[in-house]
Amino acid sequence: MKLGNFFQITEKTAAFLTFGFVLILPVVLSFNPYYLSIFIIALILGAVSLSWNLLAGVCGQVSFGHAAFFGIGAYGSSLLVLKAGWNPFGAMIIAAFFGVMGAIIIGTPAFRLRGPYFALSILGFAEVVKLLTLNLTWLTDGSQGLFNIPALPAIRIGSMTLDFFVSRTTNYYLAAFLMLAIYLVIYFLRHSNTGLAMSAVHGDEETAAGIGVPVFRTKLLTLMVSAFCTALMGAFYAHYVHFLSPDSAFDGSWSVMPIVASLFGGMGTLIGPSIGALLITGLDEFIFKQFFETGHKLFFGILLAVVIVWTPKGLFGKSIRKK
Amino acid sequence: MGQDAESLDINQSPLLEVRELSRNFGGLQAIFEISFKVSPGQIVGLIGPNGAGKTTLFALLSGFLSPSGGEIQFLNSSIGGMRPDRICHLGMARTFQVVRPFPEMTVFENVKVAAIFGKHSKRPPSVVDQEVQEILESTGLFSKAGRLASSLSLPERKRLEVARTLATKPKLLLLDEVLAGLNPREVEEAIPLIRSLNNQMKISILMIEHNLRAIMGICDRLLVINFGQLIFDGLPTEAVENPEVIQAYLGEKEDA
Repeated sequence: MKLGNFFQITEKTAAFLTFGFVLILPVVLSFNPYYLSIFIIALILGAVSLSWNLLAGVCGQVSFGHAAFFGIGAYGSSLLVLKAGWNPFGAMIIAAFFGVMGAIIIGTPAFRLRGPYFALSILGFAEVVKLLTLNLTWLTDGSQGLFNIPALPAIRIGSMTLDFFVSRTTNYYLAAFLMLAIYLVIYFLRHSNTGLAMSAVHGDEETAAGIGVPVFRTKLLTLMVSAFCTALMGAFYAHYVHFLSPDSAFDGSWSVMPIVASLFGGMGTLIGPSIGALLITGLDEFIFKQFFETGHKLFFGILLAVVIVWTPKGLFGKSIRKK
Repeated sequence: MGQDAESLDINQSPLLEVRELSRNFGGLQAIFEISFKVSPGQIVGLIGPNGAGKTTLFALLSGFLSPSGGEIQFLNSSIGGMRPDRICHLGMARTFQVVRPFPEMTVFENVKVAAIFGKHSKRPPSVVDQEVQEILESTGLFSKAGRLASSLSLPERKRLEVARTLATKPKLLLLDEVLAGLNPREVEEAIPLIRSLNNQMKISILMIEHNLRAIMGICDRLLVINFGQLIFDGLPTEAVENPEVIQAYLGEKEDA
């Protein structure tokens, strides 16, 4: 008994359904600020999971350290605004490029190795960046963290004002928009020639090299795109919560939860990881928390084990067809 | 007439020239000072007992291993230790003994990725698709184009392996036991394919094969290696009468 036996939809349909759901969710939650804040984090996680899965699910390079890029984006954007007085929107973009620089620094040596070394070295990389943030106190204020990170400035469209300081709804829809943008980037990348190369590298690195695919360059490029998107979401997170510490920005859960979400939603699909992120947030919030106020996260572990044993391709891995 | 002059010219310089090529793994001498040439248009067979170093030799030629010593010249450039994708761009492609299709991609995509990345020349997508279709037709995989590679049978996978290397437009094709694991009827079907690659597409072939009957029928020349050393280089008909080859590869007469 697997979900794949009950229904089969295409990747595109799954994406439409997902973003349709995201669009109407605030209405369903009757704009309750508490629930909105929960699902803003879910959308951030969803977008990071999509980016993580581009690297792992499409190109076959598993990362245990995406928190590095998330934290780099968060700190990068905050510092550009706080210390250099930049506009937060511009700072977010540049901070995303900081993530790309991080990708080049770790990817260049690590992708020359074969086997599990990339996964391990990026884990170390995340720890190094976190320690740097903790110890470069003149820049980052160390373990004290950064306070009063400004919200994104209000945008005026005609008579409408999109306020990011007070309104949770505005932040929710910006997070949704970012997740959509990242999904589209990944979708078109996957269906380009480079996407074919990524799949080939995932399928068999040696064979791919044997038919002329530049394996190293393909892996590095994928990591750069993945890091860009992850850092962008980190930057958004910083301006949304207004406070950062090395422990929150480089929290290991930014490395682990995208993996969990992708395994839930299906690594073989493109949209699956974001479904996984929404699903585990919903389960946690509306079911586990209701019964076990403390220790509700324990259920993730159990549930994950069940999913992996029951349906290794993820809950929707077999339901969402590629074409 | 221009064609004649050209083919004459190529005939004078070998496509592939290997000089005193060696490779050792620690203390083990897997390949020891092997020298041979492959001329344009030839089908050359490479045989030898298990563990003789045939696949190691292929790995050295195609860039998956770096030589410990010696020289590999392909189309007048030295390729020893060059990256596999670069060697592929120059026009040498290999298949693998254990077939390795990209399982989660369709047959069409498997070949397409080779068509796109195997050559440096940029072509519009429609031209690439056309090329892929032609290759699928000539390898008998056209009706399977939309299937996932993981769903193919072994003979089909072997064809896909060949189709994929063909898409890189090689001048020299290294075939690593493409006939192994096929039943006699499937071998009968595969041989014309290999011949047509040589006749019609003008691809030179260096092939490892255990199926002696097949290799005697196809090859212009035979190389025999044993314990990493080249022990015979000549006509297939001579090989079966060479005492050293019989001793090393075919076994003692009493055993036969």
